[in-house]
Amino acid sequence: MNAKAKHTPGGSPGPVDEHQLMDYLDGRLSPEQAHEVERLMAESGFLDDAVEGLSGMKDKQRVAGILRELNRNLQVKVRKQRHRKTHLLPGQQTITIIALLAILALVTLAYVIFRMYQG
Amino acid sequence: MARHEHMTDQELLETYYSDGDTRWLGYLLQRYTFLLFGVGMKYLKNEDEAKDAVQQVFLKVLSEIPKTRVHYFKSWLYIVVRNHCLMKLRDKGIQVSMDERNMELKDEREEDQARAEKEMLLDRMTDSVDALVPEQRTCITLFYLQKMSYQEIVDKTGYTLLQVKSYIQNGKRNLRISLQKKMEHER
Repeated sequence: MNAKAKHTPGGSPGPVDEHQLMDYLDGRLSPEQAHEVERLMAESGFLDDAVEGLSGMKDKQRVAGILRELNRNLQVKVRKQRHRKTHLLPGQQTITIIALLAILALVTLAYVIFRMYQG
Repeated sequence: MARHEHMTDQELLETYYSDGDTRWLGYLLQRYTFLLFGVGMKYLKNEDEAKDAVQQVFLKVLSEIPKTRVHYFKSWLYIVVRNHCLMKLRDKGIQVSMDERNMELKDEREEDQARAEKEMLLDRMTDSVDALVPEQRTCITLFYLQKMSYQEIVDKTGYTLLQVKSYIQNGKRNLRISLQKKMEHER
């Protein structure tokens, strides 16, 4: 998700999105709109810290690119973790196959012995 | 719009806890990249270090959430990123005072409560505003009652931006204490 994504900073449904925050940082909001952002900042130390941190950046145009890069890396981490969960490791696969074959051999042997004694 | 975009943080977290699919955590964390990077910038004051901090926090969340039952994700995440940044600063020999840290974390934990209290606060605070020190009274009145932006308050009062934010935060805290006392008296 890039900096223009329409969701509330902090995640819950609400009136402010990242695009609006970037406009706030660039001083492009009207006093009324700025007040709305600041009202949320006054309620959230997380948001207040983040805005303070980003306002100190010399080149705010870079933020969107940085967020895209971080989100791409996040998706890679998520995919890796999902892959680890859904795919057994090669060693684990071998052990599983050997165990299944052993069970199958035991069942077959038991069946053969059972038939021999029956006969 | 995708389904997850309509889901609250809590719904995403609960869905993850029920089916164990990490992509829900991915959607959840992606909502916070902006805030995480901003907090990293505030404390570390370096783009590369802030980016690295965000990546480390992502990894920590992906490894900790499966083992921990988190109830207030936003507050928990704020603590995780702050602790990470403060640890980095400590590694560099830079100390941050405990009082300041605790006060701000407390504010974050109070955030949900603050939203619920807001309406009540606005209705009843006019009586309590007079009890505030003049600077807090001025800033609280201009911000909450006259809905001025920080910059407008700076222009009107001559206070610095930092002072305005501080007077509003402290004034708000004092108002809450005053209102709580009033409510206890009324019971």
